[in-house]
Amino acid sequence: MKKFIYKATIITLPVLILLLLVNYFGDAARLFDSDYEKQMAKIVASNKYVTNIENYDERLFQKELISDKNIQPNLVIIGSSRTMLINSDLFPSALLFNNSVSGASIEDIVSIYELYKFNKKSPQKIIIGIDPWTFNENNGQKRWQSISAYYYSFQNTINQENTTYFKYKELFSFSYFQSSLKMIPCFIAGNANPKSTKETHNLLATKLTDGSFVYGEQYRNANQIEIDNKINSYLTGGIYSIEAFDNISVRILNEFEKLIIDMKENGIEIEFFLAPYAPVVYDKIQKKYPMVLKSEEMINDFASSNNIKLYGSFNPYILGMDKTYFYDGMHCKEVGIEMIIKN
Amino acid sequence: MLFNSIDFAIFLPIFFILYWFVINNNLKLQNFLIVAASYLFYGWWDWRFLSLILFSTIVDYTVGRKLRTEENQTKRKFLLWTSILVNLGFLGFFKYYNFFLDNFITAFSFFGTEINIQGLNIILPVGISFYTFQTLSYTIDVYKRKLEPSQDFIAFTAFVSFFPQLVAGPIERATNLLPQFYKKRQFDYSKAVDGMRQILWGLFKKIVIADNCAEFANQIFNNSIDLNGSTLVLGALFFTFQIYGDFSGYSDIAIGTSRLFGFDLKQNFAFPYFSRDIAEFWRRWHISLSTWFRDYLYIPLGGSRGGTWMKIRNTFAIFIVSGFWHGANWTFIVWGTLNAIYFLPLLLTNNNRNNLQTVAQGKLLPGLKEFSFMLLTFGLTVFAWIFFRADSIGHAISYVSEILSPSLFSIPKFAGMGRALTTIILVATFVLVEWKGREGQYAIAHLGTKWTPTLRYAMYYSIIFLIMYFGNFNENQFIYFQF
Repeated sequence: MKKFIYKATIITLPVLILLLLVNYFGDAARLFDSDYEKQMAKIVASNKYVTNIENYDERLFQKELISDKNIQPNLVIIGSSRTMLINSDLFPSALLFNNSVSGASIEDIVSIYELYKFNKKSPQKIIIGIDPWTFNENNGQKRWQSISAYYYSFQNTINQENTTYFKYKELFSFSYFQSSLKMIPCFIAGNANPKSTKETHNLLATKLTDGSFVYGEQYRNANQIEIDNKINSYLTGGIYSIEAFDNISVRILNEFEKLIIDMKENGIEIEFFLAPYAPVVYDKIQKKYPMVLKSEEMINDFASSNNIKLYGSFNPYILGMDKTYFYDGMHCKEVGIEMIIKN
Repeated sequence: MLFNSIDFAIFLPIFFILYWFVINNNLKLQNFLIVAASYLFYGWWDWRFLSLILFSTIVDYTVGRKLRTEENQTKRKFLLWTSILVNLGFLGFFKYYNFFLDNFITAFSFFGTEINIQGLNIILPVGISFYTFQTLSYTIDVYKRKLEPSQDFIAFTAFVSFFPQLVAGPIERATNLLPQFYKKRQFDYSKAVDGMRQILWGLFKKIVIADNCAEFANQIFNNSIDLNGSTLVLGALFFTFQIYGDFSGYSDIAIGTSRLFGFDLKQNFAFPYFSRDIAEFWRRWHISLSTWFRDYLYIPLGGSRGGTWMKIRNTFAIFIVSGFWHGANWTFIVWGTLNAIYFLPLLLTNNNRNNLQTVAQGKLLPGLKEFSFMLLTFGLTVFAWIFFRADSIGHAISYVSEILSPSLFSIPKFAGMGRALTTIILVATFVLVEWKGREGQYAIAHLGTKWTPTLRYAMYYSIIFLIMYFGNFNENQFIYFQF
């Protein structure tokens, strides 16, 4: 028995140590490097662009930005990666800041709004990017948990989630190991930190001083064949966050209404923005995802009954957009966004 | 609780320590610990359905004890049917109620009568098909006086709920497993090491082979309408390895885990994809279920002893019931029927027991003839799996039609083809290792046993690293949980 335990330990211990070391030092999602988002925010707040950014916690980055005294916008964009490209050139008369985060759920929108309130710098106007998955209870979005304190603060409830537990659970995660292992060369070369730059367009993704986003060179300059492949890949892989969209969530709808009421009570002007899908993706949505169409109808009704201005649509056809307006299946290019806002 | 979860990785060592260090001297306590751990293991998924297992256990235990003393044949039959009806009643309700209702409504609407009955929102209790069959085998064996009924309720409860094989088999016979709960277990070093090796190989099969193949199989089957014939062939192949890796991987982990605690379970898969005919395939695939149907359905129906029509009837009966056991969908019935059609010519020409030995035993490679038969059998199996995996008969037919179209000769193309290439290389390596180890209980049973410890450890670490690097860690459920 002793021999068995000794040998089992000899085999499992090095594996466990390797797992912990790679997850901690490779740290693909920067869970254990709390300075990373601070460094990024510091660069942006000092009026410089930041690049060489990958796999950071976008929510924590927003928290750092909003708490910085140099960030004092009067127009704020809160949405997902589908609104990340909205920049200050499109609203020249406003002091715009884009606080969009990838895969934004209602909890993200609420938390970011609450962060502005908490820092006593509520803007005059907020444009909310609404996605088809916003009202889907089964959207699978969990990333908001890193700023969940602000979500619960808005709801006047106590934080039930132990985010520290989730963070340290990742130390033992094999899927986190797979991502972190790829970051080890960067860690060894000491090349993992964000860099300030004067260029808006860089090799890797860049965040501009207005919080908007510019894709890295490879994504930005993909030719139409590569884009078509991305769209096909998107189609066959299942449509992001709406695969189990069975009905419009009453809970989310109530929270959304509460948010709008709170914004209005605080004298904030509200506008909605709906980003389109690539045409073939929308074709599939029409056939397979009726709740997306129902969501858009509901948003339209809500906006008109509450006198809220609405930009865009999930439907690219009514916006006059073909596939050349897209980077992939769900992300519209800058030219398309400009067309939506200007029209 | 899933074998491929962190929860199980914590549960197993705790159970091991309690089992061997805390209460190793007391058989009753050890059995009680097995029951407690098994109920915790099952209850982790949904504690409400523990009552079903407990009820089934009490009914079969009571029926068994009454059968021991009852001599009146009519009363004995009544007791047997009580057990059969209770067990199959649960199975029928949870698994087949909505299926029969839907088909009943469809049949009536076909004749112009509309019936408005709502289906029930029934959750299928995990593993119900497995433990139901296991307990049924006990009652039938006791009824036939092949087995002494259990006098020890805790041991019997442990037999019914034994966590390694509770939710997805192997479906153990009471004659093999139950007596092991009566005897004091001694820790056996070589058995435990062998168990660990089998667990490791099972995890590789599940996490690396099955779950990676699943990603592409799902993608291709879910979008089959937009894909060409050659891609659909690839999808069917991915599913073929997914289901094998998934189910035989589960069996390996179950058998290996049992060995850690001094129990021997029967081999459930014996390298079925190297079979030379369908009869051999069915002697090697899900052995515990095939032999269950053989002993409790096929032979009582007359087996292959009667005339030609009797043989045909019994063959179709066993394969169709086997298909239906897998799920309440016509696709499984067609899958079973297809296998019956494959099997029947062998039975009618008395060629169904031609290949009893392992292919190319003692040799490195098979002969050309053997290889051709292996390839043909594999092709037939892959074709049948299309029906097993498809959402409906219509889906399967359109899938097969596209395969039989000229697009079969175009290059496979689907999103993620690049990533799929890595999986194809892993599957090819896996097939080679399985071929090398085909004469053992599992592929790496003898691999490296005569090597130096350094080399052997290098092999273990390599497998672990392959799992860590290439594994799919979404804690995917095992396919057979749904059956």
